[in-house]
Amino acid sequence: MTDKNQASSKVPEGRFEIVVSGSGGQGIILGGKLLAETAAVHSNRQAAMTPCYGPEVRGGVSTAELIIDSATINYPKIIRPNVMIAMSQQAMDKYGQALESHGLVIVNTSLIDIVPDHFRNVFAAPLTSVAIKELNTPVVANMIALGALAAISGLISAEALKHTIKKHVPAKVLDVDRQAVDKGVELARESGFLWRL
Amino acid sequence: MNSAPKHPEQPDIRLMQGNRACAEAALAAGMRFFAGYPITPSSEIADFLASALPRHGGSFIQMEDEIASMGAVLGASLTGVKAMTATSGPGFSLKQELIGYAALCEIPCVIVNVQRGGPSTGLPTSPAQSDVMQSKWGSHGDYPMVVLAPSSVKETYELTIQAFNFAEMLRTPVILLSDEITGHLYEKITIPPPEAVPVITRRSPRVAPNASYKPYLPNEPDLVPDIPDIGTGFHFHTTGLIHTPDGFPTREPEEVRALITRLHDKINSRKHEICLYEERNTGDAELILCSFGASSRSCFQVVEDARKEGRKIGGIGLKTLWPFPDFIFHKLSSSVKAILVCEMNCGHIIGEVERVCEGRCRVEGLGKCTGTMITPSEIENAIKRIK
Repeated sequence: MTDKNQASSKVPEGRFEIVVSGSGGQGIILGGKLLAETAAVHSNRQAAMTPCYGPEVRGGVSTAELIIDSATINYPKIIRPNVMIAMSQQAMDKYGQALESHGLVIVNTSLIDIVPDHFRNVFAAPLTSVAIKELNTPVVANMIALGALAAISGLISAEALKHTIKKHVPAKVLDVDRQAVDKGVELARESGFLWRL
Repeated sequence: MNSAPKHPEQPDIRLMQGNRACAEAALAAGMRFFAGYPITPSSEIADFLASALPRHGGSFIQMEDEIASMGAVLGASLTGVKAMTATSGPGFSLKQELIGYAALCEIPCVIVNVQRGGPSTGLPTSPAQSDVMQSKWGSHGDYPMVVLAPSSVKETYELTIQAFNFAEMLRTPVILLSDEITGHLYEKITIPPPEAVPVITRRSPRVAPNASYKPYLPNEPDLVPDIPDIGTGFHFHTTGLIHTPDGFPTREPEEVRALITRLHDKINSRKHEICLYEERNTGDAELILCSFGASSRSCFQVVEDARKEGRKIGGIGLKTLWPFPDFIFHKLSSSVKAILVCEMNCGHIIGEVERVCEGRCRVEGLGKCTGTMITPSEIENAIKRIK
């Protein structure tokens, strides 16, 4: 993503290039892993996920870059993302310009005021506020976002996602995580918004 | 992320990080001793093994530095335990003296180097492939080296097992030369059931302990000696001095020659077995993209794109870097117009390709030393420059 030479490459057809980005502590890398694993293990597709390491992860932008494709993934890095989950303004500012204009962007409006105006497919919801209000914790905003992504894009199924979550989170938070996924699905369905690559 | 056992008849499909695949494969290959000093981008290997090895009846020890770690690995291996260490550039530099000791004393072990940008402390969290020559020539003296370079999580799993098998079969240190991209990447992998994993273990002496046993006497035809494990009743001498088959130092020219050439011959005579590589669309190719590790994935992307457009481009991904698979290029260099070598360094493998092609085809290089992966578009631009 930091390499300007990437922009001139073509994204292979049918390839989802996904950026999950937010602040350290929002469960961004976990969200990326769950998304990639759900796609890889619960479907016949391939997945590749790169957590972005660097000094900036402490208190700054934390990012997971994913490729999901039904074909073999040769080049495993993002060329031009067509899906973005933006959980903070910093993340939106850093990656927003790279996103395809016809791509899907899920915006956490609790922490994002400014969204580039060229996007056509924006699902905006106050994910962090909903998490606090409905589930008593801000940390499940990532799960709400994943639930919304599942319902809007069909990229993964919410049920498969919950199955993946079960394998990776402690029992004491499993219920609230699952509820958060359901909440995301509910928010998306209420909006009536659908998106396909 | 987890290692929940699956139903035996169901394939064990997981999303796994490259470094974790290395650690899991090492366990599957029978590795039961790890000594190391954590360093980015290899730390996940030590992190996982610290908890997993004791559960598998093995030992994990974090030593005071990389030199001591390498020493501990050699000591463990001499007792017959399969042993490994993992590091990155700065630690790899520190291990070099004892890697040479392992080569001379024929101590099987696996050294994992998850490459990051260098020189010196360099770029701790960024990728590079600039330790290719160091992996071959890092220690002093004439010694052979087996170096494997994985390009994916799946290949990391496979080549880690292969690294242990080569180390045991040849009684030699083997380097798994990964890189930050492959080490940190999470990908889908199907873990093979244990019975499907070929595991080779070093030979033991075929005689009972006796005072006349010569531990470094080579066997025919593989030239590998049956060195006893320490603690099994044999009394023998291990030294970093050039030694005779009985293990004691010598300066006799013929004995020196015999040892040094045997160390090379035991590996070079099996080059076709050791040199692993992947070819894609090379049959009718006019241009070959040659690479290894993570960079080969960019090359294969370009090959796939080019073939869709009818362009005659093929790819070679080297899995074994040393011994260098010269035989691949002997034939290929007569049938193609050009070979473009893509690597994240200032030009390492290109020198080998030029050497073995002997001017039969054009050899060009795309070397990148920016701490970022070579992109398909950069390769396309380099191809345009060739035409």
